[in-house]
Amino acid sequence: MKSEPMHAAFVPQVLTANSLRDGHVVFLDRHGGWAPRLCDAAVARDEAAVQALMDLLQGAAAQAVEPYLLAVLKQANGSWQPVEMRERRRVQGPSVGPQASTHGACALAT
Amino acid sequence: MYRYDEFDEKFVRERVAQFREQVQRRLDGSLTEAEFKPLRLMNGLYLQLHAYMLRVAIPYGVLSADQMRALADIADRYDRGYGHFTTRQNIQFNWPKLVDTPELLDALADVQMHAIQTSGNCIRNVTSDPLAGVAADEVEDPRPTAELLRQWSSLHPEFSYLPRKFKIAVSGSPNDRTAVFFHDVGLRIVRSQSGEVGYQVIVGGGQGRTPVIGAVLRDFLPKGELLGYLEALMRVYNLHGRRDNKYKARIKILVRALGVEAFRSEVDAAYAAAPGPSFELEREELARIAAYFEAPRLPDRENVVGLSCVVRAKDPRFLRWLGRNCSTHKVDGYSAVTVTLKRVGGEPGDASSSAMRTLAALADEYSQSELRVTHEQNIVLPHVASRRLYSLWQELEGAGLGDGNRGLITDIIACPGQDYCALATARAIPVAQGIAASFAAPQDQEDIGPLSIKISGCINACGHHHVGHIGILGLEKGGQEFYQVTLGGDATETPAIGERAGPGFSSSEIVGAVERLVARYREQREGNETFLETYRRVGLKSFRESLYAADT
Repeated sequence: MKSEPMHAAFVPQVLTANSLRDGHVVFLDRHGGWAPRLCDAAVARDEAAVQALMDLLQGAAAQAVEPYLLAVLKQANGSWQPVEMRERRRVQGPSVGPQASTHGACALAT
Repeated sequence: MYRYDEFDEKFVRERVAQFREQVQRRLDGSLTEAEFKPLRLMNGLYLQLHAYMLRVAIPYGVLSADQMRALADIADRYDRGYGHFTTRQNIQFNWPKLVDTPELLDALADVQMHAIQTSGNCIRNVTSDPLAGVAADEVEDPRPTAELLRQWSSLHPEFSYLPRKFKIAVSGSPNDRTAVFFHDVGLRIVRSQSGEVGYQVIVGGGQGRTPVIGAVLRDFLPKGELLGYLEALMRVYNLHGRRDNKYKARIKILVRALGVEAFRSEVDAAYAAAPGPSFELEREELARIAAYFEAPRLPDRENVVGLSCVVRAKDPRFLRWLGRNCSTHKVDGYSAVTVTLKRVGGEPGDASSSAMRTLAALADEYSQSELRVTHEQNIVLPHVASRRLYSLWQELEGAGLGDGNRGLITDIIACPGQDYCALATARAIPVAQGIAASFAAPQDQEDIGPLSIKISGCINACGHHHVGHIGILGLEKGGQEFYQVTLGGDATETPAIGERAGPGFSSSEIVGAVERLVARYREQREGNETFLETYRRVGLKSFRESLYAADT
C-alpha cells in the first residue's frame, strides 16, 4: 500500500536576541518590538509565519544582538517553553544566587 | 604594590576614551555587531547567556583595599551587587549594560585597573602565587617577573593575534599554588646548583578538551634571558601553531605534534637567530620593578608571644580556621590568612559588594591594605600579625566569612556553568551547593581532610575538573544534565590528570556518587592518608566499584 510522504511536524518558533543597550534576553513581539518576556513573544506556527517574523526583524534588528530563531513547545498549561534545556535556562535566568529566577517567574506564562 | 607610571595611566585612559566612541557608534548604528564584537572583546566585554559580562584583570591576583572597594562600588552601581572571582585570578561582573561600560571602565581606571587582554587570542592575565612575597618556602617573589611579563605582553604587536589565547603562570616556590603545569607557559623560579636564581620553563600544559601536563622545556634559564627566550618561544608558536582549527590551536597541540625535543630545537634556533637580547636591560628593569614589591615593614615586636594568646582561645570553629586557613609567613609572628568564598549554600567564588567592602576594611585594619585573589576562588589577607588572628576571625565570622574550610571538601572550585555561561552544557553551581550541603558538618569535613572537588559546566574546563582529586564535568545528554566523574587529578607540583571513572550521573545522582567515593576513601585510608594518597595507592578500580556498586 502506498503511504503519504512523511512530513516532520513543524516546531513553533520565536525570535530571540539580547538587547543591544543592556544585554538582557528579549523576544520579538507581534508589533516588531522587543519584549523581555517569552509570554509576549510572537509565536510562528508555520513557515509563512517564520518568514513574517524575519520581515518584522528588519525593523527591529538595530536594537538587538545576535538574533536567532528559538524552537518552543506548548505546555499542558497553555504556556510556551523552549525545547532545548539551554534555552529554557536562558529564558528562566540563573537558578542560583541573588538573581535566581528574577525574570523567570512570568517568562513562561501566556 | 606596583604603581602605574604615566605611560600606563595615559594608555588605559585613552583606551577607555576610544571604547566610549566605539560604544556610541554601535548604539547609533554606525557599527554593526560583526564590526563591534572584536572591539568589545578587546575590552573584556563578552555576551553571555543572560546579559553582557565584563572580565576584569587582577594582575597576578594582587589587589589593594582601595581597588577592592572600587570593585564593590562597581558591583553596586553597574551590576547587581556582586562579582565572581575566577580560576584565573580575574573578577567577572555578570550584568553590566553596554551603555554603562565606558563609565565602568573609567571607574576601574581610577584605581589602575582595566579589562584589556581578558579576551581574545593574546597573552592573558599573568597569574601567580597568592602567597607571593609571603610564603616561607619561597625561592624568590614571583611578582616582579609576573609584572615584567605583564608589561612585555601588553599590546605586544607581534603577539596580539596568536593562533589562540595564551596563559602564563609564575611560581616562586617549590610547593606550587599556581597550577604551573597546566598553563601554556609555566615558570618556576628555581635556584641552580651554584646558587644562581633563574627559571624552569614549562610549556604546553593546559586543560580544556585536551588536558596535558606541561613539559619542561628548559631546566634552568638564567635571569636576563627570560623575555628573549619567551619571545623566541612565542615566535615558534605564532608561526607554526594551527589557525585552521580552533580546537587544535593551543600551543599544547603544537608541542605534542612536534614532540618536545623538536619544539625545543625550534625555540633554540629562533632564540639564536634573534638580535642579541639585552640581558642587562632586563635585569635592570626587573630590579626597578622589584622595588615596588618590597615587603611591607612589618613591626617586628609581634612575635611568638602573640601566638600563645591566640591559642588560648578555645572556640572550636576558630581553631579549625586557624589550622586550615592560616599559612606561615616568612616574617616571624605573622600569618597569611585565606578567606574562603565557599560558604555552604553560596556560589563558589562569588562575593557580594558588602563582603568586598568588609574584606577591604579588614585588609586596611589587619593586612597592610593588601589582598590577593587565589586561583581557587578565595581571597588572601597576606600580612596579618598572628596575635591578632582571633580578633580578625571574629570579624570575619560576623560577616559570614569565617569558615575554616580551605582545601577541604566544601572548598569547591566551580565555573559559572549554565547558570550564566553561553558555552556551558550543564550547571556547575547547584552541584557544588549540593555537595557542600551534604558535607556541611565541620567535623565531617575535618575528618575527610584535604580533598579538592572541581566542577566544570562544559568541556572547556574553566572549573579545572581535570585536576580535581574528584573532578566533575557537566554535559548534556538527551536534553538532560549529566555529570562525568574523574578521579586522581592534581594541580600542584605533583601534577596528574584525573582518570574517567565510568558512565556519568544525572543531576539527582551526582551528590550521592561523591558521597560513595568519600565513604570508600574512609574505608580504605591508612593512618593519616589523604584522599589523593589513598587513591594513588589503591587505584581507580576500588573507587569505581563504589561508584557503580548498585549496577553490579
